[in-house]
Amino acid sequence: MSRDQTAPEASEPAGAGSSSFLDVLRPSRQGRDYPLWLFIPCAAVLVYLVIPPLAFIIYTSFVPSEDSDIVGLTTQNFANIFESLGEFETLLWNSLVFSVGSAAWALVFGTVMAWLAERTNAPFRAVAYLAAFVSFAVPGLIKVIGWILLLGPEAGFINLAFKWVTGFGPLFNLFSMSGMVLVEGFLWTPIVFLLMATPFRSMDPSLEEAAVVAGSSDWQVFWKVTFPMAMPSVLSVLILTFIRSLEAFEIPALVGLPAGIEVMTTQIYLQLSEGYLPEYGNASAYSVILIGLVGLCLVPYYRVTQHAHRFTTITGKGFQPRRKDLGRWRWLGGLALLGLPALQLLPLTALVWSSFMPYLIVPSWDALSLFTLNNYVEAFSDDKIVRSITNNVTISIVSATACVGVSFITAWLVTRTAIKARWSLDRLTMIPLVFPGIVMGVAVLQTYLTVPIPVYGTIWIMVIAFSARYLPYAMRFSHAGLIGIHKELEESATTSGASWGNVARKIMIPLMMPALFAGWIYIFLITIRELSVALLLYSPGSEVISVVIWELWENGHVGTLSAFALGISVGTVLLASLFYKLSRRHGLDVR
Amino acid sequence: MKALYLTVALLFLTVSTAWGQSDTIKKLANYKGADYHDMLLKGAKQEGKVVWYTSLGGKSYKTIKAEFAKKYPDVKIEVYRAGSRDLSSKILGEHRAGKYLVDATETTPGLMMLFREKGLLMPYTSPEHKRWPDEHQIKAKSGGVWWVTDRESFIGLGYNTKKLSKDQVPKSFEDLLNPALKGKLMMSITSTGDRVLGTMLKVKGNEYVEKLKKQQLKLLKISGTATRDLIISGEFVASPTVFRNHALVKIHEGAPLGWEPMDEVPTNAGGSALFANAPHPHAALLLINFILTDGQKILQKFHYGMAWKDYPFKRVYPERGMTVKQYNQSLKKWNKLLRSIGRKG
Repeated sequence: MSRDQTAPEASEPAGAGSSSFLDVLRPSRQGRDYPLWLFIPCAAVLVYLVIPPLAFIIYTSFVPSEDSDIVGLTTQNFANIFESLGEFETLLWNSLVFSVGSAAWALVFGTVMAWLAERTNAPFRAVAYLAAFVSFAVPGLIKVIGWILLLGPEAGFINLAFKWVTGFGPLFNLFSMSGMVLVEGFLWTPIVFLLMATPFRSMDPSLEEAAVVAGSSDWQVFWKVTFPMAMPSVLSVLILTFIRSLEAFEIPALVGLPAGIEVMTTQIYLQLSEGYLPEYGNASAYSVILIGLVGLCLVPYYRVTQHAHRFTTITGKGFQPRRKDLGRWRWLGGLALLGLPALQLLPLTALVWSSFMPYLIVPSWDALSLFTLNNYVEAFSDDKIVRSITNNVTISIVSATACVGVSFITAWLVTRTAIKARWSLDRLTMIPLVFPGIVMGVAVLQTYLTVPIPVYGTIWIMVIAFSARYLPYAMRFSHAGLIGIHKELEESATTSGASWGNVARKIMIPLMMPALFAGWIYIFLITIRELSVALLLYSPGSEVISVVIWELWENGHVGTLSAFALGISVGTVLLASLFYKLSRRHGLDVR
Repeated sequence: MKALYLTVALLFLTVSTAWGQSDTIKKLANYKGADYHDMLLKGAKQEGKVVWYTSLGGKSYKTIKAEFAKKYPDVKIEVYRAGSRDLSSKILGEHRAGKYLVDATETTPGLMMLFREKGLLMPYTSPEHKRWPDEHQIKAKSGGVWWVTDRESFIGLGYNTKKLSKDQVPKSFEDLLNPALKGKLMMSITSTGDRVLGTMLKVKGNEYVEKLKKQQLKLLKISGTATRDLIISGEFVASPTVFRNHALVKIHEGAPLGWEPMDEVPTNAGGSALFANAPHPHAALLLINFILTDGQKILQKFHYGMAWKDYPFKRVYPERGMTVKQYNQSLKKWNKLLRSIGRKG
């Protein structure tokens, strides 16, 4: 990802012709005297964040369980997995079906929406964009619970309404593989919509116009011109969604387990809660396998994105993409676009109802007499619940700032210096990409249960885990921001005698602010949503929002949960809107 | 080199402080003076707070917290509630990391056996113990008790009375195989579910579990109260993993819920224990004594069973007669079997 585009010497193999280890830290011959002092602490921070979790998860996968008679390291944990090969194959199969299904469903749905919004004259495109933006602010866990309330087979509001109208039912059983795929697909649709809207918006219409002039039908234009041009985006979005679904935890845990469907991530979680003694060895062995799977999937992803320039859709030519006139079908297209806000609002409406009820009860006129505000009082007067908000805000601010700060320096060292070993920083920042959330949780847990650094039981263990997990994403924002700025600006400042600090403070950071700010917001919001890492790392006193919601669900306090979840959703949406407005006011495009 | 010396010195300081603390707690735990309560209260006020981990469900633990706070306003009480497995992983994790946060716990015996084996607990004496029959005191060889059974929770069948008529209600494990119940039952995939499955296995054998697979049970990793509420809502018709005390609370409120004991009733005989490295030992003992006095009334108000009372069903204690290792392995085996009942390929 961080292929150097500004320093040609970057392609020189590190260590080529070097006579000692320290040589790799020196600038190459063509390079300038860049601050090595920045490289060493930066490398140290990256190594600290990335290497111990990786090392400990691999090490623990060879450690026998506590109640085992085996002494020393063993391959027993892997043997346990492969001994029951049928079970493992089922896990793998379920994971693949779930991931492929979700990715395909989200891709089809999101792409159609993006096409309708960008390439047709269907109305409500602004509403669709707003919904896609809002969807990012509302934690997925909250929406999953909303969908359970709507589509539970016996008491789900939609199923009951269907049964009431038709006398048959249920309309749809959420607790099934198709239910898992449906909800995961719903969660990914807005993101796919946003990712696919860009290529549709930026496509050069001249090729399509040429096809039309040559007598092609609409379908032929789409199939032979539009679709091939969008292919790299389609492929990269498909692979990305597939990987993220493979890593998903909330839906497999909340929807899959009741249906008796286990996937790799839930298996890791179950290994830690099967007996009184957590099976760290087995959980780590599953984690190592999952890391391998994700790593394998990332290879084609990088291949596709690396050669994306061959399918360039944005050029220097000024143009407006051709919008197809849908004629009388225009309003149908608009209705389809309203599907995006509906997907966000429907689960929340279920939560609104539950938040005013003393216990879980289906909507009816009779139930209205039970209307109460107690859930809101209970939710926001509970010390633990309120503390989870302050904990989360602190964790998110610190993690986002740390990620952006470290990634900014790393990206600068990688793209702007001639230090031979700078490639190692780039690789280090990419390693966490292979860690699904639940695996990062296990890995960081293992690390700080073993290493005598007193962060276990505090919020700082989550700051470390989140910083490590989201470092690659921050790097992507920083790198993109940095390569957009020509280095002659820095060079002239340096030539005029400015120190590196001054160059960074007065030139680089202000110019990169849009990218850094966008990265910061992204990480801030995503750490508010994160469950799988937090679930393994929190302790009493360091609970975060997602953990509190999870606990309220497990303990059956659906009313309190609904009130709290709605409060949080309103808060995150307002916060996201505020960030968005701020960024626009300062001329920063964070889309 | 200086860093190494500093690390060693810090480690020594940490270990010696923990050792000293443990010694102080030991003396306190064995204190039998006439001013026992005054001494505890004075010390607790100085400590200022108590951290209590419990697996008690519903609103019982919240009421205990509220009443304790009302009675001892100078002692802040912090509560962490979780299922026994989560409690186990949290407490063992904290212990492994050398982080001593928890003072006292009220949980099930299997878990306390594990804590005792790991050296996490401290036996204690209390003037309240004399009210307990000997068989419900888990005594330490060195004197004092590890815990006394302060409540019993009975696991049986909770069912929705609107969805199941009286004559359809299963009265035994065998009745759960009724084809009419196919796809309508759920079980909690927690240690509660494991213990029920262990009991089924003991009473009915492997064949029964195979037959149960055909009933397409749904498995949810939720607490006892959440299980009960799903039955009330009608999402599931019945579940053999509903606690009697949780059910009775809602039955008295008029919810469409019934509770039926099965062939044997797995029983959680809960107790309160003191941690050997409790950072607030006076406050911990004050809380434990509160649970053994005022807390008993609260627990009975929430329909928990009492060990010395008779009930019209056969109580069983799956962990009894097992070592910690045997019990942990049994739990894992039952859990695996339970998951296989609900699993779909």
